[in-house]
Amino acid sequence: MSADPTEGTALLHAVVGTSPDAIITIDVGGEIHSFNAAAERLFGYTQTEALGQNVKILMPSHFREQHDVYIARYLATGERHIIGTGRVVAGQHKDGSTFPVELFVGETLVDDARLFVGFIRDLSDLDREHRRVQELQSKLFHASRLGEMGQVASGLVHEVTQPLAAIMNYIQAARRMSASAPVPEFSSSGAEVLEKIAQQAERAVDIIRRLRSFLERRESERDRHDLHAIIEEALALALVGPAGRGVRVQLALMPGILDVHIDRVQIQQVLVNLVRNGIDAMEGMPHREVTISTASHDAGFTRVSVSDVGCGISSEIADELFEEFVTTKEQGLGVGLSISKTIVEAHGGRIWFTLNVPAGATFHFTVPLAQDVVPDRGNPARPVECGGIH
Amino acid sequence: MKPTVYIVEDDEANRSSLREVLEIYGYSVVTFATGEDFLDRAEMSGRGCVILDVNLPGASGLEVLQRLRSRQVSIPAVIVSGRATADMRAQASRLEALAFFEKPIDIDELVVLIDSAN
Repeated sequence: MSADPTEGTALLHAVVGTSPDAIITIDVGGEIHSFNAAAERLFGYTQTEALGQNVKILMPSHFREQHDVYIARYLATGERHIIGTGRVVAGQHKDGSTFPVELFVGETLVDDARLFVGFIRDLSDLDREHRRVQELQSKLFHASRLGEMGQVASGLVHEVTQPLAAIMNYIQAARRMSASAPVPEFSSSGAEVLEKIAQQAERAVDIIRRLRSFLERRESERDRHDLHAIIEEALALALVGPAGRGVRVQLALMPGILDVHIDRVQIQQVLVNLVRNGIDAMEGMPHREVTISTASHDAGFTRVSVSDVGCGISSEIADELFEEFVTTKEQGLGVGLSISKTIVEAHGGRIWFTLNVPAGATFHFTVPLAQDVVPDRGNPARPVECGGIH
Repeated sequence: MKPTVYIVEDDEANRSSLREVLEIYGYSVVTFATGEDFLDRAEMSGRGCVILDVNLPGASGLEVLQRLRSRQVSIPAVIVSGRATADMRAQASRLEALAFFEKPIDIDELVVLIDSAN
């Protein structure tokens, strides 16, 4: 604060005026002495309307009747029920509507007069925020489920194609045998049965072919996007939920905007997969940290790296890590990394991992730069500390 | 004398069923489970044709074909895949593959191709 009292008052006014929470002062009689801009927005009264009124106008009727009693009791007994602690109460708008607020009351003396200061936060907004997070979470869940199902289906198509192809070969062998060397044991009804087998096998082949072409049609919508904005969003999504609590995040991004030519949702899915894997690999560890960095790569590509300090990757699983249905998680399908690989390769990029010293793993992938982008190779990546996310 | 067909396929059922059916058609057949094994061991003399699966452990069927071509081996090659992509097809045609088949293979068509190339 400034030493000059006038300047101090002006600063205080500015602080109170720009506060996102409503700040209201009342005297011992409940009369409103100040009413800031956030209070105007929250309750619908202008400052002029509110000043001098009893604070009860901001409460639904039940509490109005009680408020005088509350103040009187506190003044008589000194027993604190709300002062110094926060409570969730109902507020009432000028239009009569009520809404949840968190109320924190402080007490102060100004020119020997006792004043109560109320700090009021709109909880319906927090509810909205909460809902938004939930919405994002469910969208991501839906997208990743769809991706998982697609990957499971495409893995299944491949696995089933192998025996089907062998069956078709054997059918052709049997046909050929029965045609070139008809033997009494292999009667005409035997040949008929063989044709029925062939028909059913062809039916299965047809189903598999249709499924395959359906899976190939899952289009990717590529456009120009700022990679760093995409990383930021994906990071927020990946940290949603209890697993992300307490994880420290470091960003070491190349300076400025980095335009890439990608399918936003798909690349975010890759990022979310990698960050979530990193978090899972550090489960139960006291120090959990994820680093995301971007760096120049081969011509036309930029590299994104997601690093953790977790348990690393055992050599037994390393070779087949990007294969379908390979997982170290009890509850996993083992398709996250194979989806990521499919997506990255469809973008013309590459995905791989390295082990960190002393602990953890780093997954790297490359994405194509937007056509006219020439990354600045002179500037090294600049680490930015984001602080803990709790 | 029918030409020799070399089959490079890691899936055992596919490998032996293809061998069986082609033998019935009168070809002599040699099979390999990996591209490396084929490149090391195959003795290609006289007429022949190689059937290369794309998705192999180690070198892919397309990489094997690339190595053959860089060794100036011009044996007719048929590329086979259970999960074909446009990229694979383009690469196969760049390497002058005779044909690209999606599994299951149409044996009649394959036989016509092998005979016409030899």
